[in-house]
Amino acid sequence: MDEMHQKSPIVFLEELLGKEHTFISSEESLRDVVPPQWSDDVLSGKTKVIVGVKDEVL
Amino acid sequence: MSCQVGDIIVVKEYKSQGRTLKQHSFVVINTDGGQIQGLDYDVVCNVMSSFHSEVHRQHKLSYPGNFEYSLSDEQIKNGHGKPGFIKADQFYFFDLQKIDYYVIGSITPNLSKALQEFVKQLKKVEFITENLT
Repeated sequence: MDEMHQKSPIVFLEELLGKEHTFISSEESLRDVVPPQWSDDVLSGKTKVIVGVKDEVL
Repeated sequence: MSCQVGDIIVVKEYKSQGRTLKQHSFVVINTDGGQIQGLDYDVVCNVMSSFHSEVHRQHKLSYPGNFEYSLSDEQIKNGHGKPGFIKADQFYFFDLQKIDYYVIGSITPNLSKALQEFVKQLKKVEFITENLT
């Protein structure tokens, strides 16, 4: 497995269900979303995006 | 095709209330699968968004559920040249058989941990399950 991947969930469903939650539509959620414009190399699979935290060496 | 926790996927298109939504990017946060509202799902994801200006950035970060994922190109390799955010309070439940998607990369374990801590402190969250019906 790629070392960047983690097996353990970042968030467990039980944790989410324990919070106050509502169901919304995709349109409502995506209304203010600006889709990232990935490069052609990324979209073609030639290179992979890696996103880290501040000061992390990628 | 399959995806793993921490992957960044682009969903080429999926149906929502009779409309087709295209080319949105998501971070996979859970691949345990299960049921919600009696419907089977495979993965849970958060959607990613870019900022188109500093004013837009300030506005978006005034919402408690938006998690900024990079401040500069130094935190994103092979990225799109702009900082952005993850809508960490909105969770998409996907049936992978019903979406056309591909993996374009991943977030690091450090960013996963930061996202995890961010979600922990949220009081309210929203679920999107339209893809499952």
